[in-house]
Amino acid sequence: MVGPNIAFWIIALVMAYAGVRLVTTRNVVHAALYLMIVLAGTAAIFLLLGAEFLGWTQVLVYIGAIVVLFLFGVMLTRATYGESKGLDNDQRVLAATVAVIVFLVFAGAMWKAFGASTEIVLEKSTTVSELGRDLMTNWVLPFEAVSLVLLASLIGAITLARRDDPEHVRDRGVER
Amino acid sequence: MLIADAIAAPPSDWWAIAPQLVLGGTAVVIILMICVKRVDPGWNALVAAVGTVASGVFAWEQWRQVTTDANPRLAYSGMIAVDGFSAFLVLVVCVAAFLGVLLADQYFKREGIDRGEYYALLLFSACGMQFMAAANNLVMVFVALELLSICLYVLSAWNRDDSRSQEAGAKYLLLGAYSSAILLFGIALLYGGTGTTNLARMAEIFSENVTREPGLVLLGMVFVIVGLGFKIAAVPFHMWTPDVYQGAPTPVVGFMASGAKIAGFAGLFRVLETGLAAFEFDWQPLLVGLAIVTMLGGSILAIAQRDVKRMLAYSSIAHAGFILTGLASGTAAGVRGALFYLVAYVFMIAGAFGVVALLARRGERYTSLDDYRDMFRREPVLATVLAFFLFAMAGIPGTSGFVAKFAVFTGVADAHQWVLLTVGTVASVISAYFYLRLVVYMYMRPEVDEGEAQPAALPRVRWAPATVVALVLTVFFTIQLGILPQGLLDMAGKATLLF
Amino acid sequence: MKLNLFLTLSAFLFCLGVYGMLARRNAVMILMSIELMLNAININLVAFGALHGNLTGQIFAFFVIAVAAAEVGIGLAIVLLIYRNRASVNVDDVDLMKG
Repeated sequence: MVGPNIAFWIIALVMAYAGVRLVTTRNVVHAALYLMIVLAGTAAIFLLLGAEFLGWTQVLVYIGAIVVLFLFGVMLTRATYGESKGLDNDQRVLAATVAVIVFLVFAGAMWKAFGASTEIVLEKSTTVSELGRDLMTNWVLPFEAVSLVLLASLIGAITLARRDDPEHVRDRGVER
Repeated sequence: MLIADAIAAPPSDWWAIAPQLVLGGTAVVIILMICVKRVDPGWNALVAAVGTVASGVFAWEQWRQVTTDANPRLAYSGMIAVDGFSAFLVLVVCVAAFLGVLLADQYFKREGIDRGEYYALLLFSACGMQFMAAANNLVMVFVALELLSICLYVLSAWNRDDSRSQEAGAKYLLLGAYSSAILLFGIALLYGGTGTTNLARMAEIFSENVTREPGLVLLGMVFVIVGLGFKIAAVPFHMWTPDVYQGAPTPVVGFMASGAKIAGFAGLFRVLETGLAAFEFDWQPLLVGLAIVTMLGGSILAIAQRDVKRMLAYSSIAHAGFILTGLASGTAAGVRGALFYLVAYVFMIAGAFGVVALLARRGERYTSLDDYRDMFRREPVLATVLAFFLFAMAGIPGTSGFVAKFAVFTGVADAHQWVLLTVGTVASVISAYFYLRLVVYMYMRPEVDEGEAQPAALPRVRWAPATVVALVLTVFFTIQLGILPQGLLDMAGKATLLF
Repeated sequence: MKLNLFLTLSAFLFCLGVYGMLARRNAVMILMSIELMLNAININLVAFGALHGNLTGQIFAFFVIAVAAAEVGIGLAIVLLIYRNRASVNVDDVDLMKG
C-alpha cells in the first residue's frame, strides 16, 4: 500500500500550503483560487478514502458553484485585483496562538485515541446505488429537511438582493 | 426491472412529523400565493397564523397520544423521537411562531417593508425548531439547526436598507456559521468515537462500555456544548446577542429570542441526556459553570445598558442562565422547572418585545432609556403592559416569572447545589434592579430641554387587531401561569419522560 | 493508510480556518475561512466513516456540502447589501452599535 500513501502526502502538502496561503494572502482573488486548490485536494482525499461519488459531488458543487459564487462576490464588491491592505485586523498574533492551541488539543486527542497504528482498511469503494439506497431509506427525513434549507435560502437570498418594484415601494408616512 | 420493488421503503410515520409537515406545507402555500398574485401581506400573515394553529393542533394530538397511551417511539430510522419531551417543545414552538406572526404585520406595514416572504421564512425557521425539538440523531440536530438559523439570518437583515439591520444580519451570520462549524466538529468527534450518530444507539454503546476513546468523546462533548452555547447565548458565547437584538427588526427579535432558545435547549438537553447520559459527571460541572457565569454576566451587563432593546438582550441572556440552572441541577424537578421556565419566558419575551416594537415608532427611533420617560402619561395602556412584563421577568410573585424561578430553584435545592442556588438568588436580585429601573423611568418626567418638547409631539400609538390579540394572549398566560401553574407544571413533569 | 494522517490533516485545516476567522476583517475572506473549516470537518467525517465501515460519514458529508452552499449564498447576499450601503465589506467598519 505504498501508492495511496505517497498520493496522500502529495495531496496533503499541497492542501496545507494552499490553506496557509488562503488565510494569509493579501489578494482576494488569489484567496479564492487557493480555496479552489484546497477544495480540489479534499475531493482527491475523498477518492482515496473510497468515497467516489462524494468526491465528484465535491468537485461539482464546491468548485463548480461555490468558488464561482465567491468570485462573483469578490467582483461585485469591487475588490482590487492587486494586493490590498487591510484584509487583516491587528489580532494576528492572538489568532495564531488560539489556532495553534486548538490544533495541539485536537491532534493530541486524536493521536491518543487512535495511536499511530490504526489502519483504514477499504474493501471496496462505495457505489452510488448503495449511497442512494441508504439516503432514500434511512436518511430520508434529514434529506427532506436539507431540501427545505435550500428552498429557504433561495427565497431569502432573492428577497435580500432584489430591488422592490416601484409600485411596491409604498411610503407609509403615517404612524400606525 | 422494477427497482422500486427492490428498495424496502421504510413505512412513513406521518403522525410523527405532522406538525413539521403542516408548518413547512403552509410556508410553501404562502410562497405559491406570492407567485400567483401579490396581495396585501396581511393575507399571508393570516395563512401563516392558521398554519401555526393547525400545527399546534397536531402537536397537541401527539402530546395526548404520547402521554395517555404511553407509546413514545422513534420514527424514520431513529431520526426523530416522538415522546413527551418532543411533543411538549413542538407545541411551545407553535406558540412562539404564532406570536411571531401576530406581532409582525403591524410593524412591517409601519416600516414600509411588509413582504409576504417574511411569513414563509418564519414558518421554515419554526419548522427547523420543531425538528430540533424532536431530533434523536446528530445529523438531524445539525440540519434542523441550520434550517432555523439560515432563516433567522435573513430575517435579521429583513430591513434591507437600514444599516443597523444589515449589520445585525452580517454579525449573526458570521458568528452563527462559525458556531455551526464548531458544533459540527464536535459531532464529527462523537461519531468518530462511537461510529454512530443515533443518540439512542450511542447511549447503548456507552452502556456496553466499549468506548475506546473517552478523550475523543469528551472533546466532542465540549465542542457540542460550545456550539449550542452560542445558539442559546450563554456567557461567554453571547457577544453577538446584544448587537443582533438591537439591530434586527423588533418582531424578529421577539421570535428569535424565544424560538431559537427553545431549539438550542432542546438540542442540548437531548444530546446530553440521551446520548451522553453516561458522561453526566463530566458535563454537569460544565453546565453548572456555564449557568453561573451566564446568570451573573447577563444580569450585571444589563445594568450598564442605556438602550431598551439591548437591555432586554442581556435580560434574555440572564434568562438562559436560569434555564441552564434547571438542566444543570441534574434532577427531574430541575428539568421540569427549566421546561416551565421556557414556556413562561416565551410569553414574557414575545410580549415585551411586542410592546417595545410599538413604542419605538417608525424607523425604530425611540429605544433609549430616556425615550421612555413619562411613558405612563403618554401611553398609559402600553406602559402598564410593559411594566407588567418587566415585573414578571423580575420574578414578582403572582406572575409566571416567579413560579418559573421557584420551580427551577426547587430542583437545584433538591440536588443540594447550594452554590448554584446562592448565585441564582443573587442574580435574580441584581436583575430586578434594572427591570424596575425601566419602570421608574417610565414614571419620570422628561428632562426639560430648552427648545421644543419632542416627545409630546408624537401621535398616540395605534393598535392593529393582531397586535391586540398577541398582547392579550401574552398577558393572560403570564398571569394565568403565575396564579394557576399546576396544569403546566404537570405537563412539564410528564415531558421529562424521554422516550 | 493511517487514519491519523487524515485526522491530523483535517485538524490542521480546521485550525487554519479558526485563524482566518479571527484574523481577517474582510467579510468575504471570513466566509472563505468558514468554508475551509467545513471542508476539514468533511475530511474528518469521511475518514471516520471509512474506519467504522458505515455510510453515515459520507452521507453526513453530503448534507454538510448542501448546507455550506446555502450558507455561502445567504452570506454573500448580506455582504452585497452592506456593500451597497457603505462601499466597504470590512467587519470592523460595520460597527454602529456599541454598548
